[in-house]
Amino acid sequence: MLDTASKKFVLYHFWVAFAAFGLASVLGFYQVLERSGLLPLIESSRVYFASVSTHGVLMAFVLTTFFIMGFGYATACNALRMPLWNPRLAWVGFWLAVAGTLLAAVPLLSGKASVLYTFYPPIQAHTLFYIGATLLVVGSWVWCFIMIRMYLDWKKQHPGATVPLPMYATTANAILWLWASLGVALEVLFQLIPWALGWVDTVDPGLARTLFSWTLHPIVYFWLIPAYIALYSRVPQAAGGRLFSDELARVAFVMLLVLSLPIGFHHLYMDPEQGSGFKLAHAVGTFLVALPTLLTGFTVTASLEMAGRTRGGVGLMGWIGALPWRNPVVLAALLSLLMLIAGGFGGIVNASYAMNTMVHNTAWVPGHFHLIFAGTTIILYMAIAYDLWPGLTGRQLHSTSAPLLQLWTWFIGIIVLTSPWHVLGLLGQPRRISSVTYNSLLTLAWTPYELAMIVGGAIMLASALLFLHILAKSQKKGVMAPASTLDPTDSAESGAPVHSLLNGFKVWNLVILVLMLANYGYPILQFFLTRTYGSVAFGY
Amino acid sequence: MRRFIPVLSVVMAFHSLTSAAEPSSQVAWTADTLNLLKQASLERGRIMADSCEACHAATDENAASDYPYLAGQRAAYLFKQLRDYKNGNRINAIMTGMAAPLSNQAMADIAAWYSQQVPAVPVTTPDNSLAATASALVARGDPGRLITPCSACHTESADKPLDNPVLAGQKATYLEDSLLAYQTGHRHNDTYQRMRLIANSLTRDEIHGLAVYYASRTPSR
Repeated sequence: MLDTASKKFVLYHFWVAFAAFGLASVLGFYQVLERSGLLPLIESSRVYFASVSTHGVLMAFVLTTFFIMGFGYATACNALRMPLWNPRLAWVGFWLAVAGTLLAAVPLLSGKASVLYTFYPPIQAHTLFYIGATLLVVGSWVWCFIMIRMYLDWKKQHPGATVPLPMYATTANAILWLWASLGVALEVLFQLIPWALGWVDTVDPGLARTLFSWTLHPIVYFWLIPAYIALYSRVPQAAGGRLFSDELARVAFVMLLVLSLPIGFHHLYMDPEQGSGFKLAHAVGTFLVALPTLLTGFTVTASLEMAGRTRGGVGLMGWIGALPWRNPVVLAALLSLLMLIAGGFGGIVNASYAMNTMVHNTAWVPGHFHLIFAGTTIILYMAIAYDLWPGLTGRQLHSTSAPLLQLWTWFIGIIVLTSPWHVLGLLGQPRRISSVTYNSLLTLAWTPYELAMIVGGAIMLASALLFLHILAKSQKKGVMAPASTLDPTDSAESGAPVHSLLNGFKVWNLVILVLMLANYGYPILQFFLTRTYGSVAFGY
Repeated sequence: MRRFIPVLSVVMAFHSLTSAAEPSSQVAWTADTLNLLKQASLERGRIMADSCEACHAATDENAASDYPYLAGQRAAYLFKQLRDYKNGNRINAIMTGMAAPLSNQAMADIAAWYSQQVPAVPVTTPDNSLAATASALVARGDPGRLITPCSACHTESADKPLDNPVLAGQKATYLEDSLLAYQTGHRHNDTYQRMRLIANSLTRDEIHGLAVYYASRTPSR
């Protein structure tokens, strides 16, 4: 139940997110061109690293946070049939996040925060960057609070009823983000800001990396859960069927919430500050978190199969062709699942200690996370935008074929960009480098893959600009939408009864607390029990 | 063969003891050292630098000598060189004696004062016949010989990393002598032998070309 004011509010979020996406896409194309060494005129390591840092922050923090907040507000109001709780506070959260983004943009764009989006102390950024990032996170905490509050209010008004699945998943995501962001918040507030302000001379990179790893893996699921919400709550209906199992979906969201948090050490496999026993514990957890993704693959595929067979598809695979491939939501889901299969395989390689050693710090890693993030996740963000746009703007999309062209080109661009990127990693190309022109026989083999990446990047940039064009043109010049199509996510009555464990989060929060204490308690405490030495800022 | 093993072990142990590598410099960029530089007194530095200026000032009398200009040089670099002279990691008949009585605080004060002075205007004119090779080495290095670009460390502004010297506007004779000293190993206070490795890969003509190239550049502030 999104009223006009709330629709405008959600649109504000989406446009900030997509403006960041557009700028970051241009930077992404510059980067793939610069590092190839084909155009010596644009080669500059300073500009490159400022660009990579801005690209990462815009894509991973700004696009995601604003999109997730906007989508969450829309989902909560539509799924619960409730007005937005405390719109004034919600606007405060929005403006805090905008202010944080603008503050961080100044040092980023002026080359004073080329620390990549993972911060990487002892490389030091300007204090404004850390303060800006903190404000962005604080703004997102306001969103978390409102989501949880609306969920609790609904439960109070509907005692014993099952919380609609989209809202259950949105609340899980809000709780996940509160837990996840605590790690980076501790790092920034107690280590990076005092250090950047000169209150302390040194920083302990081991502790900083440990705290960041606390955030670094669950943040991926914070980004992914809205995509999963679309897969579970919109794709089956859009395909002409229904969800295969509401309970399996809830199990998947609970598992994502609980298991994605205590496993961040797979980002620290090669780091000396943590022991192999804790790395093993985190590795086991990393493999376990693959289960809810497999479960999602199963449930969504089963839902699509039911829809395909309802539409007349027969035989072992005939249902696939019978699906409505010209529906943007269904098309995006199918392409997303394809990319998830490939990206999931790569993820298992990364999670395996021995294989991780082979690809550690090579081009394989950015290849992997671009496939999973820009591929699997963002293609569903695009589909969600197409799906919500008529409801939010009151106008239909200006074209039915342009979104399909855009989604296909995005998919093709991702494949053409990330496949050679993975291969380059296997050929030994390091990551985080601004130039690959070593002029040796060994690295000559990289050239064809670099060229392919440029083609992939160009296709993606064109697709990103087409996406923005479709949204802007539809909002301005689209035909007025019929009232019946305005609220596609307004699905929600409470569902069939489910076990109380799948309708609440109290127990799961306790489980998370225990797991976090077990997997992060001593690894953090050790920095205060043993004598460790801090580092001055890199480059002094 | 077996009886040779103990003998061989003793020889190897003796060799490893006697050849235990001494560090190229005893200066570490700890927070204490950096704070010493940050809190240095420019006024004390100015007074003590009076005696340095006789040789290092950018005057007509000094132009013909191969003593380097110090005005506008990075403080961390100057501090390290003074400490290295005092500790014997860099050897020069005059400078070793000059640095010997200086305390850490005095060295920090002098270094800080020089870093705040306006650098000399270059008097060397560019040599076009050498410029192409030199500017390629500066901008791109030579990956085939594992020579990193000079500009990777020696930027022309007061930028990081702070302990690398600014080369732009320095005397060509000093730059050339320094690279040759690195090549022969006479100068050996470069951490990780970075400059010795690079200088060893450079030809005599390239060294001359680089020296003229940098000497003709105007340092930016």
